Amino acid sequence: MKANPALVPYDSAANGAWTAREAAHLLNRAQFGFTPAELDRATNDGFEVTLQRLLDPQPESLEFLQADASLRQAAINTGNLDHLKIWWLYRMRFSANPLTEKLTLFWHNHFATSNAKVNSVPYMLAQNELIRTNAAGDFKALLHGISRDTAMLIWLDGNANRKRHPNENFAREIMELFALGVGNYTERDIQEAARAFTGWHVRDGEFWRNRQQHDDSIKTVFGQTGLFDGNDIVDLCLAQPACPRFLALKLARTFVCPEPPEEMLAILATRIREADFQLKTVLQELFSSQWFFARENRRRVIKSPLDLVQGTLRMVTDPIRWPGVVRLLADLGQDVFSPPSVKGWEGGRLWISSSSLLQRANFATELISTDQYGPLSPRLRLLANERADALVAQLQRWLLSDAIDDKISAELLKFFHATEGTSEQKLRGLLQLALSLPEYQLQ
Amino acid sequence: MQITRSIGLLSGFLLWGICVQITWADLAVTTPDSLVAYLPEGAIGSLEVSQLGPLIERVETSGVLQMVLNSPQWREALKQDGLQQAMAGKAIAEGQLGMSLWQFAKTYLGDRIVLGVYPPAQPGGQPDGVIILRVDEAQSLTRLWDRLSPLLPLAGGKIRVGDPAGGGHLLTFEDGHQAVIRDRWVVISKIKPLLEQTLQNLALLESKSVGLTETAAWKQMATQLGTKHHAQLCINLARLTELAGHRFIPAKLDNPVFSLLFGGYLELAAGSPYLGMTLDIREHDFELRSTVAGDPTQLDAAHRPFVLEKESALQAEVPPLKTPLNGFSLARDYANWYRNREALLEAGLLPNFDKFETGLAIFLAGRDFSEDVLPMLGQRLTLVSIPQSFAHLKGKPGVQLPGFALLFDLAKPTEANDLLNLVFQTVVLVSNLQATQEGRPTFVLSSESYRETQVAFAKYVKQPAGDGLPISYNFQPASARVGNRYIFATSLETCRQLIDTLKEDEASPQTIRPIPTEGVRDLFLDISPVVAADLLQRNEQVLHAQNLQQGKSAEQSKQELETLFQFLRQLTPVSFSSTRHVDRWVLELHGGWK
Repeated sequence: MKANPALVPYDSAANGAWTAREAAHLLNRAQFGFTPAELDRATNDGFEVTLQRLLDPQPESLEFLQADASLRQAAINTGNLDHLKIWWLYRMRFSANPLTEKLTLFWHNHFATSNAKVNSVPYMLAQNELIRTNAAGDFKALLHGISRDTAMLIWLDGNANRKRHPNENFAREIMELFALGVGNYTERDIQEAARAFTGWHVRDGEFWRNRQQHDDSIKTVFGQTGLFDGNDIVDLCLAQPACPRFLALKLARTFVCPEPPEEMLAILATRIREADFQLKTVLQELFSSQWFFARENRRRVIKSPLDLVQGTLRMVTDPIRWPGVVRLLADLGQDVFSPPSVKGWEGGRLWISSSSLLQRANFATELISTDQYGPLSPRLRLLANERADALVAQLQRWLLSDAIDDKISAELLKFFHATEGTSEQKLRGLLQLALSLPEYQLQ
Repeated sequence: MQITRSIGLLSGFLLWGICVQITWADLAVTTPDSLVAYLPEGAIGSLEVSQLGPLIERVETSGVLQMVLNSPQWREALKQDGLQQAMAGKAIAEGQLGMSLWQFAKTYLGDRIVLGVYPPAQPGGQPDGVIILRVDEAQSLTRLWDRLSPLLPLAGGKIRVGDPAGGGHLLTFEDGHQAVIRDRWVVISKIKPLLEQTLQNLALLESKSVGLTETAAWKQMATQLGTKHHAQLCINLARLTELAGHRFIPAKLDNPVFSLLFGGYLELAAGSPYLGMTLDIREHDFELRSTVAGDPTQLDAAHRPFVLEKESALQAEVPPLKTPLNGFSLARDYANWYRNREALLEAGLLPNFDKFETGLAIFLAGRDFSEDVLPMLGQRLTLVSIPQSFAHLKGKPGVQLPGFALLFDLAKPTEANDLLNLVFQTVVLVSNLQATQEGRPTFVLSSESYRETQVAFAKYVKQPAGDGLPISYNFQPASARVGNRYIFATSLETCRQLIDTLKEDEASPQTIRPIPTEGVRDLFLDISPVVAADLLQRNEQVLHAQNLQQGKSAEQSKQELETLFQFLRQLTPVSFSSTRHVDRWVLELHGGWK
């Protein structure tokens, strides 16, 4: 098969050297920001090694495993959703597999389920772990798993889906939001699919095929007729041409650019189908593509609140005080385990409004002027000893990697010299300014 | 405030102190026990601290202090700029003094110190004050002066040295405070007449009539409380009222709970000549008492609910449970307190009572809370909490809470029993409706006969299993009546324990702490730090996680928790009580350590 030119692998030699800018672009998209050490490591290791490290499972440290277990158990023990959020935020920050956490968030938004209705920390946790297990794996297994997930069945009223009174919630969402997208199914398909999912209930907190309530008669979906049950409907959805294209659109919007060209989507959809929905293969090709690294796709994505907050804390703060972070994320509009609707967070330009921009600026102010999210990291504080130009250059490299230009440098330097106070106060002032720049809201 | 500055100046003065060069030996021989005798009359209050030396010695050598100094919290605190500066200042001060601050405190604060507070000279101004400090030996002040007086010129004119009439040294500070040092004495004040009168009193040792001890307030306090305490505070309430021109304690309170607890005490204080506070520290415990004088039974009609009639007066007491976490008991005429609420509470609070009654109506089957229910319930309410074993579960909740129980003393046991049973059933019903909506486990009502007592309880439809069960599994409501006492418990196990205790108590009455032989104890609170430590340790996993959430390392978190548990286990039960006597009302806080 002829290789598609648009997915020509990124060639650092042909596109300029692999520098901290390219490393920062990859790390910003594939994880929640980076620490100075992570940026140095990625820059030094080169593209291939860095990407492989992101894609291949990495062993977690003993410290991480113990803390993870403790935070997870506390969430179960207390039944407190904030504890569950902190457990996940901790994983996003400290896991040796940050891409897995980023993908888990991607699928959490895709299969948006809110505890507001599920009202169970263990069920929300189980769904999150199901997603994590398959986050970079087999989308087919993930979709099958989600269709039997307890939290999802409660969220979409699975127990109300009965033989003589089918409930269409799940059938509609699997087609509209999980696999195909609007316009790729008919109302008749939904009605028939709903019958196939009848009897898919929750009993004592677990998935239960209630045979008494399952409609085992013949159904016709997408023009095919048979004695279909829920599994068959999932397979039929996966077999639709719209399915890989739907996934391609979501992946491209999240990881490449907000408005991906049609021809690139078609290519990506083809690669998804050819990879048999094996996400690691697809992501490897996507992150390795010239398209991903293209100049016009850098700083094209508006940071979600999680990208903004986690990325900033990762760079600026050590240690992190998580309870305040949970409240902050809710205020900024991305409250994990509580998406606003079945559609999840729409994101993109909707992340930015006059009020949210003000909140983002306030976050920068609070972060720098108080310790409520944690103190400045020791490495960052050391910068206070640097000369002004070196300090500005370093901050730009860490915070604004792709937006470095002479004008910004000059403004930052001017601000630094105009600020009064100790060297640490000047550093804090400069940090606050950099974090409030419009360029910092993009990745 | 001038008093605060005076105290600050005293500390500063002691660092920059001087000693007496002329002797005043006679005073040292014949000084009375209390330095209050030397304070000029007209004070609105006095605070005297004595015999701190042995106490400072004990703190310095105690294991608890070592534990604190070795704790991760202290190590973490030492990283703070403020504390680092303080520690540096301490090192400099110790170098100048030629002794540790511990030794300094024992030497110069170890005998007696008294602070007298006087009304401001100008209306609306700040109170004035006089401080008198006495050390054990005049030589110790001489040594301190020899060591530090050469440094006084470094103060750059902020401290002037002079020679006062009568001998000694006079220090005048930049802000107007003056200090006179003679023999074993240091006297500090900003008000010259006060300073001079104090010095005169010190000289006129024989004529004590000039001192504050001659005031009616002090005399009554000294008679009722004695004067041999580590610290003694006397506030001349009568003088304060006279100066204010009206009662300075509000007639109506703005907090119903505070009113129930202390409304009577405060009302008595409004007419009391003094408020006296004493602190006594012994080898393994301490007592802090606050006393106002007067006959509580003479309070006006609105405040009579705080004073039960003598013949029916119930003592506040907690049943002698085996391992209680805490117990609280309050004896009041609740029905009349509720009826008198318009006279006892600020008007803004009253609509909330109407809302409360409306909300309560669902549980009361048409009865009126004020007129029907409260009179049935009697005049003592007791709350206890006890650790649970969760034997009724096939596992344990992830967060283990103690079982709680409310005990009502019933005035009309039969009628009240029926009503409270109905309330119990309604509570379970409402709880089930909410549980169904929220996906929590639901209850089914059941009953059993336990030690010949009928117990109504809620049990889970399905017995849960596992060691991380939701927090709601801490609750399995139960109720029972034993004699004239009705139990509302959050768990069957707690209810049974109370039944056991009350049954045994019927045979041989006991209390968790002895009831005082004099007076009527109308409020009692008891907390066991050791049981609290055990309970916290059961939930160590969650506490550890909360520390991690705050950004602490696993090691730091574990050390902090270990320190907390050790600290709590060093303590003996803490109690707080309120006891009425015929001529006074006493609040008492008692605590101890092993």
